[in-house]
Amino acid sequence: MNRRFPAFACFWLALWLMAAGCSRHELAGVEFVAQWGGEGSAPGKFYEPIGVALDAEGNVYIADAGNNRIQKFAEDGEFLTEWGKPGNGEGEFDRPIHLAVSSADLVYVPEYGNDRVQVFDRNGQFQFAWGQTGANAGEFDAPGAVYIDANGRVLVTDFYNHRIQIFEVQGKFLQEFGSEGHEFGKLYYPTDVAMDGEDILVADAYNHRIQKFDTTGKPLASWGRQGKAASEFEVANAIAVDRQHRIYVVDFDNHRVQAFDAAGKFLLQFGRQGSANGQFNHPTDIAIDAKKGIIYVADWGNHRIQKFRMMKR
Amino acid sequence: MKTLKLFALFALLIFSWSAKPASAQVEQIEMRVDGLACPFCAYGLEKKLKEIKGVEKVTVYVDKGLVTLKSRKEGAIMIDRLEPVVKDAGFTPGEIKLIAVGKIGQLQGAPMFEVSGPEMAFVIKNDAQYEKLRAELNGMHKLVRVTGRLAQETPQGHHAHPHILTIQEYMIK
Repeated sequence: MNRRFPAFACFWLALWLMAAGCSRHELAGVEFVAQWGGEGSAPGKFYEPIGVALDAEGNVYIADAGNNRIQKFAEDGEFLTEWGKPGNGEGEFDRPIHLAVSSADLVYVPEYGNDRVQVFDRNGQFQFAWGQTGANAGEFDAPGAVYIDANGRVLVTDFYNHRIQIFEVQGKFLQEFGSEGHEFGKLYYPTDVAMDGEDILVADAYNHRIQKFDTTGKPLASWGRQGKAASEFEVANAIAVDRQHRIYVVDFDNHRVQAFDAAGKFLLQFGRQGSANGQFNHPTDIAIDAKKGIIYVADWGNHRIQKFRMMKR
Repeated sequence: MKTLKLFALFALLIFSWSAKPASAQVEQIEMRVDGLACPFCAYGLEKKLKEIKGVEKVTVYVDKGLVTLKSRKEGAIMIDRLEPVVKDAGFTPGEIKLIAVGKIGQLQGAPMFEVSGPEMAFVIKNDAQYEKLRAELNGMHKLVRVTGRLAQETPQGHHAHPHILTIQEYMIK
């Protein structure tokens, strides 16, 4: 037994190292898979699709901002259902933006115009809502994005209040951080938020940078500046993180997506201005199906959704 | 002195103008806005402009850097609120273009374009286009649809002037 132990341990160590190596694969690039949509208001069409989110089954939810509705698709782009119309009642929208789906299969939709977050089940049945216009705790002035963390806390970007607010899953206010400015730790019209482990990542859109905070709101790191080169942005307006802690940033006016490692080191980019497959006209949001290595991008100006596959090295 | 006179004229108009043509109205306003870069700011500006009294519909054209506002039937858009709202939303207001139906009048010798709604009137720039319109009207008080440029000149140390309307196109109804 004792003599066999080293061989046994070596076998498991080798297996673990192989698994770790596989799970930390390098990203060689992304390839275009499919696209769907097109300008219009019929089911499956879009007018300014601005937000994209996925549920656990891989269904795709789109905030169809110009049509003031949410549309739900299968992962291959097959239309499943839609809900919403212009207004401020339950199930009505005034510019739904960067939505999110919780692990409890609830769809959280922030609304710019109505200064609230509405919550629906996966078929569009209204569940509850919170928020009103203002700058106090729990109030919003153009909430632009929602992120639900592993602990069920809901992070909301508050565009005109230049802050991030954090709520319990039912909408009870917990904390806030951020204030208007350009210095390290300040925010200037934030448009998206995500988490990488315990770190909070903010798309600090009009500072043209990504900022990383701890859970208390203390700034930890920042990268990016205005420009067109790698690691530069022209409105960094959406953010997503994959299983390998790579951070994908939607670079609105440069019509591309840039990918970084967890420390903010540039890895690659994809997309350029245009309307062909793999090209963008002002992309606005990104969602990642980590299990399948699939990336969805809301191609706002082309009124469509594009689907990409990660290529491993 | 000229500044004071214009301001007095505007105040007089607000409080004393009484005979308003029933079908006259500001139909649409177009405003150039610098700094419109993405839907987040476009939707934000749309939200702020909708809060202005008299605004029925706002359309923001990000690529053109243009905003159009349509007026509610029951009241004209409070044009004086446009520039402050655009500035507060983080943008730079540019040229304002007006499409409105109203009547040409005069107050204390100054040509005026009178529109119904919340006692609204504009001082008309007295140029060749205005003279041409005046000649065609030949003293008749007919409704006129005017497309024109609005400018607000505010010399340092003075209150804001009333908007001056430069008539670009017109159609006598």
